[in-house]
Amino acid sequence: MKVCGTNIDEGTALHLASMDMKKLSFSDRMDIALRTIVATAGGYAFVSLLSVAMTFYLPIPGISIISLSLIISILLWPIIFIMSFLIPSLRSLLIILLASCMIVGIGAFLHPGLSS
Amino acid sequence: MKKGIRIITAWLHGWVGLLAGWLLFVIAISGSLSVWRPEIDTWALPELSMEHPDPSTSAEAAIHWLSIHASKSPRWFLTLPGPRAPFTKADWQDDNGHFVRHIFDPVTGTPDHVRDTMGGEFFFRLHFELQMPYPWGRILAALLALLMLVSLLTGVIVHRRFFRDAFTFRFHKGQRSWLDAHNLAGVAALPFHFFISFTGALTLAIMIFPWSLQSVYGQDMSRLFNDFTPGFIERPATGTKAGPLKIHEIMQEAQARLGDYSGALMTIANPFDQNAVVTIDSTDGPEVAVHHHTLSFDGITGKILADRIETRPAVVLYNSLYGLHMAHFAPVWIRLGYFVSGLMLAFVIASGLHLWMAKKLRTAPSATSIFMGRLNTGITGGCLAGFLSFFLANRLLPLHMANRAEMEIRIVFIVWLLTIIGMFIRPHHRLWHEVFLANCILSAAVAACSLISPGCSGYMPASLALLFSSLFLVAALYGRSNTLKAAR
Repeated sequence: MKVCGTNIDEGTALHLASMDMKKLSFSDRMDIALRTIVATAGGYAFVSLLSVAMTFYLPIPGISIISLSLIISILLWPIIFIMSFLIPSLRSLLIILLASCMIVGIGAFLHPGLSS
Repeated sequence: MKKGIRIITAWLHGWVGLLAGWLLFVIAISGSLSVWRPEIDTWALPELSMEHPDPSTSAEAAIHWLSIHASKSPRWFLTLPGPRAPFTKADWQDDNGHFVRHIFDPVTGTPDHVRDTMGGEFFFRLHFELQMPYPWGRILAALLALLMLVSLLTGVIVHRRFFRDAFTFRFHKGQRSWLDAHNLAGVAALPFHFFISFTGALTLAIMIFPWSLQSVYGQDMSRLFNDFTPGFIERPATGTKAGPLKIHEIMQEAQARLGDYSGALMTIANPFDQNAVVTIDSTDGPEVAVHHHTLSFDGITGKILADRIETRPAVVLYNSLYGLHMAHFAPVWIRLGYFVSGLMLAFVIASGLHLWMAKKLRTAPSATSIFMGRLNTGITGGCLAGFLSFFLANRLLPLHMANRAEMEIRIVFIVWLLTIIGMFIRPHHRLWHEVFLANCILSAAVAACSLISPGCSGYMPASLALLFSSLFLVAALYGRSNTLKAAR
């Protein structure tokens, strides 16, 4: 690949081009802004609901389940964040995240442990 | 998004790095220094004897002093002397309810002639609290650790040819050399960067993901405390005076049950009450996991109340990951690996920031990009200068100055701020050269202070400071030669 008349590898070219906002259209920028919000908030909501559901459904007592849920939360959130930028359309991303949150959330809220 | 996966991840990698870069740089440098926290503590207290004292004798002496000078505090917290930090640290509440900390001379058993300094604790606290009030600093640090993970994962997708990256460095090629160096340092220590970011985020995870804890315990903090630390026995004060504490007998029993308990944490609750409890929590051992063995004693009778070793699998797993981050288990050569890898992480961040700034200055020079470039040099270079000034302040401030420890920290931020201001005054092409030269001089001054201080423990700190001084000098000369080349 040639950039400014010199041969450079693909990774270098990607890196140098990585933050060039001028190459992004207005719709691209809006897409990125919305994805950032959805990835941050949606990922956080999903991970939080999952950790609550884990405490209800997994037969592990007290502090052990908290330790486990924290480990899983820290593993999952960055992956969800990155995946949010890799799913082709924003609509699909929203549907996937909302559906995941609803499944986990309903599961947690239906558990009798919540009322106690 | 219509663009390719690698374009998107490259974009994400760059922007996450840019937005979190400065704070992550500070976290990486202070974290690297925190690996040597006990050694920095020891260096910062040249008036203390470096011989490893008996923890039992030191604890008894410190408790005797506390019973006279901190009698109103409901709890005393002691960190017993260990092989890496041969002195007792004590925390207690003063009459206004504020926590105070002092280091006790293991020979005299008092803090009277020991200088007021934060020592390694400054870097340790800065690493995860960022000089911000609780809980905001910790929340921010946890979020930054998550962003670091995002940046690393996206970096892996962008630079998929690791093996080639790890052996590619092209000298004197401008930005390409910087990018090669960025890739090289990033790839060489990539496993370390991953686990340190993951375990770092995990240590503070409860600050940002408290929901599982809320769902299990709700507002029942005493149940949480009992479940989290079952070896710690909580007994409310009765109001009936009793004493003295049977510390000698307790320490003998602790030695019989724990073996070597140097470096253990000792808590004395309700020290003058009939319900006094002495708890000793030993965590230092050769295992990667922070291995809690906790003993609780009735402070007045010396009778054992609890003897608990943590064995719950999920807690042990969490403690293993926590232990991997803290590196208490590590012998000196592994700690050295942590330190060098941490510095490499700081370099990856700084070189990434520099690449972005340089590109902006070259392709779209504007007042904003010039401002950002200068600010970047000031923040990254000034951080190092500020940290080096901390070591100098430790040696140069008057020993009995009021609020001396606070002044040491203020000096760090004053020097840092002055460096940033300096970057806006000096000519643009000389910035890196001058900031490296300043750090070279400061490192040499730290080395000189290490050598001339009375009671200084060996030549190792001075040698290390001289090594950094030389590295800064090389960087300064490299920066100068590049400037001259550009001028021609």
